[in-house]
Amino acid sequence: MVASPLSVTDRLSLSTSITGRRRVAVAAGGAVGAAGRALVVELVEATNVDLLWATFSVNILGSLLLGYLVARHAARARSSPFLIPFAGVGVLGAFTTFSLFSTEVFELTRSGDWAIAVVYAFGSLAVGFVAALAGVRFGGSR
Amino acid sequence: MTWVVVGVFGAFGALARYGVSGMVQRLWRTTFPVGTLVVNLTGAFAAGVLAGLVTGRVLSDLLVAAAAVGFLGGYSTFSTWMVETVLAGETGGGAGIRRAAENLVVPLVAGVVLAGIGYALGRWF
Repeated sequence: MVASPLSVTDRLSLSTSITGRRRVAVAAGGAVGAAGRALVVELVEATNVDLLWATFSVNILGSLLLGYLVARHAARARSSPFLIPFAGVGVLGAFTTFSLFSTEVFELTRSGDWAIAVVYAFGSLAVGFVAALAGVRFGGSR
Repeated sequence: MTWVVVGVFGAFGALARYGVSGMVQRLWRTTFPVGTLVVNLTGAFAAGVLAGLVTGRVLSDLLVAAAAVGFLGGYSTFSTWMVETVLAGETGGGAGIRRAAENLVVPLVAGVVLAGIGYALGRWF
């Protein structure tokens, strides 16, 4: 039996009821975030715009808002222990998606659209990073 | 109506991400956001398998929406990846910037490659 690298406090905190309530917050937030993403997809489908824009939009908007939320939460002295699990891990984590992003880039390379694949992939990374950075800066300032 | 199904399965996806990334991060004992990386790469692989399974087959739209858009969409995350990269870059000057650049490019390439391997597997089945 290999000793668990978890410290005693880690193990204790895992069994407290707040962990269970945090899980409920994550699940509730995840439902809101994923449903919100599906709504954005439906909105984009209703227009004649390429569906890549739906994934791009949710990923950039989600990165901006999560950066703001995390920095704001860190800057505040008092904040609910459920704010990050619900809004951060749940809503914004599920609103954005890596799996769809990866499969989209793969599908683009498979169909031979290499230029679009490269622009879409690195464009998402660059704009997503700048959006998250802007969110963190904005949320950290008072 | 699809968004209701997506929401329900998104809840399970988010919960799975919370559990898996927390567990991986605790076991690895590193400041590198390895939990998010593991979640995203396994999610990209699974999404590739699903895309491969769907190709040339008639599967219910609702089933695909539940599994790919709902569960895997909620399981994987782009925003956490970006924010963790920003935070990694902010600590430690030049080394921090290099770490941030690595944490952008490596998961991107690995995710696309894993989605491709998953797709090939899904088509083969």
